[in-house]
Amino acid sequence: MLGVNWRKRTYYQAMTAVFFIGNPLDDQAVRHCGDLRSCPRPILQSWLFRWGIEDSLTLHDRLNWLLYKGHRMKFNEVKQTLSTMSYEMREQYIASLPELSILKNNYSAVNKFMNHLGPEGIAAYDYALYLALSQAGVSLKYRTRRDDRYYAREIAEIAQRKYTGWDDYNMACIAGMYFLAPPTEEPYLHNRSYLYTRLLVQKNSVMNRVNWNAKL
Amino acid sequence: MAGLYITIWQRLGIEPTSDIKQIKRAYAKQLQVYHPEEDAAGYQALREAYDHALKIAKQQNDRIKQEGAASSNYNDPLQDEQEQRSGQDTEYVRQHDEQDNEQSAEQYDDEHHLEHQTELHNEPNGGEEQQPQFVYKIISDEVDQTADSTSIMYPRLTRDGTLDAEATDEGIQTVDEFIEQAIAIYEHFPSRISSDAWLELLNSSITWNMNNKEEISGRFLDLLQERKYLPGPIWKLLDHFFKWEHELTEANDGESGKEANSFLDYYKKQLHSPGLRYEFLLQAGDIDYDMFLKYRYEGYQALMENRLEKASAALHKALKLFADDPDLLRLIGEYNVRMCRFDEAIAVFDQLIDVIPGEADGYLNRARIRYAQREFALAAEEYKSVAARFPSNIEAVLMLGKCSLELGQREEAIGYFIEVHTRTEPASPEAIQALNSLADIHPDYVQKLYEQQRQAVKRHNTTKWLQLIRPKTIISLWIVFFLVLILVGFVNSIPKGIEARKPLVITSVEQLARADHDHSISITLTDVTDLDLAQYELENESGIVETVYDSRYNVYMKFRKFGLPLPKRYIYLGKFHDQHIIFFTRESLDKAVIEEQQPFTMTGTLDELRSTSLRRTVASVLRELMPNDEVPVGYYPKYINEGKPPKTITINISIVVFVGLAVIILTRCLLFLYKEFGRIRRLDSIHSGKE
Repeated sequence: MLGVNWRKRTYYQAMTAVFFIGNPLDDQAVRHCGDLRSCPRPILQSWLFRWGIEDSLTLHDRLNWLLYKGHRMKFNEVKQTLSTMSYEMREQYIASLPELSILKNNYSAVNKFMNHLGPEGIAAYDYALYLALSQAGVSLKYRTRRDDRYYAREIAEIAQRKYTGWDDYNMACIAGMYFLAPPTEEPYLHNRSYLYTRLLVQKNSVMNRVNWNAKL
Repeated sequence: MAGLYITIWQRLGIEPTSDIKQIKRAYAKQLQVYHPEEDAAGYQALREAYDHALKIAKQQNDRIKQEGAASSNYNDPLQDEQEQRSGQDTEYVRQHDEQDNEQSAEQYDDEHHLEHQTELHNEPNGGEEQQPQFVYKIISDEVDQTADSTSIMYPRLTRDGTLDAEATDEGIQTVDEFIEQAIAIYEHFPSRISSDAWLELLNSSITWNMNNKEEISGRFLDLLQERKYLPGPIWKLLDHFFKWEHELTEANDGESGKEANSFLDYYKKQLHSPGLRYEFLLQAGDIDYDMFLKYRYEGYQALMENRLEKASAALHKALKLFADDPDLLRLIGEYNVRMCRFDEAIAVFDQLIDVIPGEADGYLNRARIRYAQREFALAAEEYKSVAARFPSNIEAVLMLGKCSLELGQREEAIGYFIEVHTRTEPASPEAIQALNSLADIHPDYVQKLYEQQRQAVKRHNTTKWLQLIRPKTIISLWIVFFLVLILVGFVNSIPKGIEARKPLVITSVEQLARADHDHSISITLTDVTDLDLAQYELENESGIVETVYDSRYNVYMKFRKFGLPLPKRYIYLGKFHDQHIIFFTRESLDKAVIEEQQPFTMTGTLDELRSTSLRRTVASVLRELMPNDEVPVGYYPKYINEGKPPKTITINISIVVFVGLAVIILTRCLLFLYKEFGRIRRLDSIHSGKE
């Protein structure tokens, strides 16, 4: 029983591990925690507030949205638009967009990833964000631990059905991170590559400790 | 004449030339500067210069032809297979409409994410990055005759280069004629897609007149709402001239008609969204162009909104009218992919490649389908073909890596992934994907890369911090370091000083012998004997105060009439172990100590018995006290002077001043360092972004 619990906890941790690369959670304080469970309450509150979450009701709404709609909807809309354009037309159109604008960032990210993701797109990002927000909600007493565990398992099983392995899942998470990350300049990107490389080579990396198809 | 030439060419902003296209491009560019509404005089001068330059160029070209030269007004015809298709006696001319995009940053609107303000300017572009748009223009005898018949008669130049004031413009004279000409251009498909034709129309003399322009604008717009299938660049040219977007948007605010909204929506998309191409329809022959364009556009929009049924209906209707339009084929292929009809999709992309072998879409889409269907060998061949034809396409290299991986060709896969990683920006999506794959098949490379990156990050952070830290900061750090050392040493010495002032409890004669004269001692004496002696401070005849040791009784008897001096100290003899010790007290001891021989504990300092008068006095008293047959008592060579240990520490003023200064300097340095590190952190976060 303890082993199963450990496996589940490690699995959920692995599902959000790639979030701590660069600054994808858009919050330096949270990223420095390295683990949401060890984040102080004020930091978690501030982070949730940035996602529009102030209490259990808003948390519930956000989690529902992530589960049933999510950022993948917008990603897919942009993908549908870009896939109707020719290769050259896409390049020209994206190049014509204002520099450092959210629009350009979105379109550029979709253009780079859309042909390498499956039909589920960046659903992995929504699932990982769901787990992260839910975990933070438990720490702040916006959500019960029981609900968190129940839905975490559901989310993990959905992810297992939609993706073939950690590589596949992580790539979709990263695609979501690029899609939603604020446009910025190079030094930030450079560090992201280093941190992702670190995640891949670390022997005790959480992704190496649990099998993708583990029974949860 | 030479002076006029210079004026003309300077106005157009080009060198003298006989290239009509260059003149027209220059004119189009200068229109941005001399807009009819904003600078009427400048526009008029520009127009005159344009007309004159055209006239001169035509005259020169005619002269050259007459002289038998093979120079041409046009660029070399594009040598491609499309020239062979048409059975007409046509000559394809390749024109470059080069556009330079200027962007204004506008907020992203979730609802209308394709609508953004982008102003396009027609400028010759020497940059390598921009892809020129190609407009194919058929010049045939028919078109030439048509052009001659509708050509505008420019004011003629006289022999001396001046304008012929009596020469008249025999072109479009009324608004009705303008509209008729517009219809004629629209109905003639090759002219419809030629910016030159529209440009000539806009340069009609009728448009010079600002009174006519408003009417022209209104009627022309109404016309184009019914004849709206124009290439994007033509719409942009017209909008630049008439500013219709602004007017339509304003008008739309007051109107609620669905049709008005629908046309505005369509119009904005023509201006700001990527459009489909028209030039391939020149090969379509005699078809209902508008119907084809309508179906194609509807299919395009439906596909964007993922309304697949509607897309299918529209696209296949268009296909029936003309099956060799590459944009239509691409859209149909995309539809089939979304419907997972991969075989049909491949057939369509095959056709697309046949129609336009120079574009990547057909190959890429075919390759993607093969990969999705796990036909990795075929996919690899397709991607190799893409990589060979389009070397800058990084997707092809990345997918070649993935195909090689699936085919078990590990070494090749590694090569492709490393190539992707080295060719792309760090942490770009392609680099991350390559890294992800390499982590499985070539972990050593990833490990090595990680080490390199870690060192680089470390060096970068160190350099960054060193650059951010100022010399003042370093100096302050050193000052703080030394001051802290000094203050810590000072603070550490205080307990020792306090400790030193505590009386030393004497328990043995050896301890007594070792005791410091400056150190306060505490000693318990027994067998205390009152020597009836005291120490007095008395003034002698010379007025000098002397220390006198005398019997208290003698002093009493001597001075009782004149006022008794108070003893400074009372002198007793006590016993400590086997030693008799003289000790001085401030007050006389209790009778209990003397008479009952109670032990007496005192605190004081130890001093040498240097005073001979004291020794003599004590010796004489002891002789009197001892019986005759006893040996006179010897006494310890030191005496104890009673005194309380100091309650407070004696502080040197200079030390106080030094410590005070040190504390002030330390505090100021610490405040400075606190602000400095705050500044460094702010700069660090600015340089690193949010990282």
